[in-house]
Amino acid sequence: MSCCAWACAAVLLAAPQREASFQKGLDAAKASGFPLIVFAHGSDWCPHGERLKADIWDLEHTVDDVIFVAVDVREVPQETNTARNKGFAIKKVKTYPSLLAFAPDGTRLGLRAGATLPRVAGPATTVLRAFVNEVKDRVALQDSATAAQEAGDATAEVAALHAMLAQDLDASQPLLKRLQEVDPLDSTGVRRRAAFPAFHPFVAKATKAGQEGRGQDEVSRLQAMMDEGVYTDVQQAWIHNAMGSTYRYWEGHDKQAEAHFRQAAATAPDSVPGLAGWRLALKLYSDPTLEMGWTKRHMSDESTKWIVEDLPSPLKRGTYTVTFKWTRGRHGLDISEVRLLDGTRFIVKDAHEGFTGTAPRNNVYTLKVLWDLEHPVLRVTTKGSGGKDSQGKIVMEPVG
Amino acid sequence: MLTRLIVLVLLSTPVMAQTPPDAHGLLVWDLHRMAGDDTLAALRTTDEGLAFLEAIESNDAWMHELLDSGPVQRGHIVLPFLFERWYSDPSLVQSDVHRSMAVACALAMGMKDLDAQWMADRCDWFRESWDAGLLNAGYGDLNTFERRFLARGLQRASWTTAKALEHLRERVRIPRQQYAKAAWRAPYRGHNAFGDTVQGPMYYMPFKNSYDSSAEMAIEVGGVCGSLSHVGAAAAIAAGIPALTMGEPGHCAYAVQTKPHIWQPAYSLSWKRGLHTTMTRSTWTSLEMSQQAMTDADKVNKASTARRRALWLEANDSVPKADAAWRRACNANPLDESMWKDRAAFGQRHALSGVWWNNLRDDLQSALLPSHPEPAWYLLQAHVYPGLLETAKGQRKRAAVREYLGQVDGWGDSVRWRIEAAFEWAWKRTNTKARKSALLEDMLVALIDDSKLGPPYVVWAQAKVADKADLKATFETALLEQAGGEGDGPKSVLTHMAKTMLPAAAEEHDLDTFQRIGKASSSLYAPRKTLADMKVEPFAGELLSSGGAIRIFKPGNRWDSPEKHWGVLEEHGGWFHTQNGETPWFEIELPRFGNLSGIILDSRSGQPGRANGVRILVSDDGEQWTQVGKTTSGSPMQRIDLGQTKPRARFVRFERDGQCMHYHRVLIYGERAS
Repeated sequence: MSCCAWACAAVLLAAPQREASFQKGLDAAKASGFPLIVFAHGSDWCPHGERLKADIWDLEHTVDDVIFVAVDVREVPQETNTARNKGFAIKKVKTYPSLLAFAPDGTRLGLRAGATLPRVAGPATTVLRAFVNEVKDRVALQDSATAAQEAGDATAEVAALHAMLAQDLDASQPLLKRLQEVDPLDSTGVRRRAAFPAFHPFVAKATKAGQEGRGQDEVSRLQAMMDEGVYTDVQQAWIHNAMGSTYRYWEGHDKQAEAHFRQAAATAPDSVPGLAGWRLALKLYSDPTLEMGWTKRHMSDESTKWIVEDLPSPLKRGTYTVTFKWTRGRHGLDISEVRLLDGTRFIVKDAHEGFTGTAPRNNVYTLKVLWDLEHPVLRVTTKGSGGKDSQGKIVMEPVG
Repeated sequence: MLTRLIVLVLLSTPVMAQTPPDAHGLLVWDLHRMAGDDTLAALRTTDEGLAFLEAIESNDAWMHELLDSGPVQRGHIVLPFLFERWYSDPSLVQSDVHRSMAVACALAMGMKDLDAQWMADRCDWFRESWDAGLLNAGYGDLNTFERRFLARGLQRASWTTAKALEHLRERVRIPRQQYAKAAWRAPYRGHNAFGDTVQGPMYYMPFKNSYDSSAEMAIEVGGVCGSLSHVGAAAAIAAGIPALTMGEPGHCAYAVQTKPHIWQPAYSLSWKRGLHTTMTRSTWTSLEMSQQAMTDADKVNKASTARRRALWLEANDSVPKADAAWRRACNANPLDESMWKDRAAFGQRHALSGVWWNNLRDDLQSALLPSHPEPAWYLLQAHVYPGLLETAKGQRKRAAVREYLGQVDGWGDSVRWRIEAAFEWAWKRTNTKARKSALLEDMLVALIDDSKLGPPYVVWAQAKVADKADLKATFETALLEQAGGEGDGPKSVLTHMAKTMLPAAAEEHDLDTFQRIGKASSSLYAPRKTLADMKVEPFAGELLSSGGAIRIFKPGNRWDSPEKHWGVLEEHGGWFHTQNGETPWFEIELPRFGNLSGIILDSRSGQPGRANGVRILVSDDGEQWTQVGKTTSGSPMQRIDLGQTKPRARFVRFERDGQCMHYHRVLIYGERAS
């Protein structure tokens, strides 16, 4: 046999086993113990899928011990396709093209589609191969876990289950359930991190408890979660938001609510829960802000000082104007002084009597900053003009 | 024919000997007319502007796209925008798809004050996406009229920014039929996780700036009908499929072109739809007809050429020839509403005779009836009657409506519309009691045998006579007589009306009419014992079946009591009985979408076998069904718990093999999802 023939034979040996229909693919997976990879595409409506099919799917020959099936979900069904797709849950495909992986028993293992499936052939091929390898690892890990379970080797089983959870594949409920059975203490926190719920039901449950007067129990439960010390920063931020939301509806606990929302922001500042906590703290409990302005809640008949926290940081040197713009309400706003601080340190001020309302006057304050400030805040001295029914905006702009 | 000749002779303006330009010349003339002198002059001040004008004026296909793809508004904005697109890349003209999209974007700029950069970005986005093969293949076959829906975007501009489109295109790229369900990608939630209502400003506030687009935020955070409909429609637009959002009473729905040139309502609860994006009027029937009008390019071109010729002739003082050209334009593409409107405007400008208006009315009715009753009515009352009946007496006006109704057959090729507007129009033009009574009877005679129009007419008429005892008595007598009912007095009327019209209204998905007649007829029968009295616990949530409608297999059979159908869906209770057959069924249309928690089936004792083996199926659209349960006993009172799966439904169907079914109550509970 020539070198070329040997090479060809090697390629043939390494190629994936391709089946003509989803059902045949499942049968082959069951018989062989190999995972099944499905490429879901739409030949009469999705040109991108057809391109990927031709460029990566049909050409792939380097992976082995795996079953390949292409499922063609057409807009105008054809008999051959209907037969080919039978048994495949079309409704569960959220976007096309999709690569889906199934265990030999038909359980879905993972997905690559949309943002996780590159458009260009080279990177897409890399993803396909990595996905196949990861899926094969999952099947092997599952086999290891089963073997360890049968041997009564809890340590080995837990290690296999942990390795499965570390993969970029589905973390199924049966997997988590088994891990809870075999490792109830979860000293590493792997299971609890993986099982952390979606944010809506998690926070909504805490909100409801606060609204229904069960705040104490809920806060205790959430604090216990926090004390476990196993959650990621983002998860901790959600826990803080959940506590903040419980306290928010628990009469007399505004300070605790604000503290937890702020703690969420401090724990994971650039995350969705971090930003949510920050915005809730500002909106519900803080002094006026540049983004949200002032409302009736901030108004006083007496001279009062507002701390405006949401300045750009760092604040670059330069000259800035601060303008107070009344937007609605029966009363205007008197302003007597605007100070710029860096943390607690005084930097500069503009003190003059100003008013904003239907006929504003002298409502622009000018601040000259000679160097960059790391923690800039404004301290504004104001008073309701004849009452507290006032809403408006604070606009800070560089001059020039 | 003779009257047409007389009309032409009577047209008073002098006939000039000028000959209109050929089709190409007319296109250029129309382009200049659309743009206006100032815009053309401004373009001609630069070499690039001159080159652009030369390019477009030498390209008939391009001019057709621009001038014949629905109404052109604010040409002084449209043409400069198109110039900018061409200037940024003149090669776009070489591609039919990209040229058409650029025109659609320019036309959209004329319709509404939109940010030019926003529009340029989306124009580029569609171009790049198409070239990369990332849009639905159907995008390539759209005409410019259809592309205008993509260009215009949705009611809320932030939902189809280039970033939002990008997100949705990657996340929701599915066969086009499936976009009718894409709204459900966003969870229906009246309150956010922090307990703030969607009706207030706090709902999305915590999540602002956390997501790249409104669409992504709605998918992650949730929303109610407005957000869900925007997600569904925006996802379709992101795939290059025309879509729009629509207002319905207390609800927001959307529509998608699920097949080439075919619009399908999605997440819709009612026929009372007001389109948020429209090239003509905001009614559904108008959308359907204008889509049909714009689908056949040959017809569009032929009619538009005739229209341009008419305008040119009129501008050059050849009014009789212009009149003939207008008629040719309407004949060439009668489904294009704008042709009829323009032709009527021509008649108004030249104060043409009553005979001319009669001819216009006849032409219009014969072209649009009975297939398109709503557009026909709109054109008649808004554009023809003012010229035709301006000085006419009430009798002629009523006769005009009678003639219209005489040519109507149900809803034609379309769906229910507010035909009550036509009744109302005639009613307002009737002064005395005797005439009102005669009008009611005339319309009754015209409509009573129409299973689609009869029920809404009777409901409307009854409301009109409710506080006028003599009119009421006369109308009810006429109703019984016309409908062939027995007995006399209000109860007989009500019984007869309910027996015939409740099943008809349910069949038509006309929940309003079903409710009005059903509620009124519930006074005819005693309420059933309450669930509490019967010690039956309702399921969690609200009674979703209340306010809905029920259809059954062969209503009005010898054991059925259609007048009691309404009560079946309410605590009040009622009765229905299907006919026997291979697979008898009954189907409940809920007034809104819901996630079901359970169903109470309240049958009679005796014949227990008939309550056993009943399959329960749910559907979003009344077409595709999923079985969610089955009765496993013959108990007369059954509680079907669906709390584990909470299936989403707007239609719930019950069927069993071999035997009839009958129930006093079918109560469906759950949480609303619309």
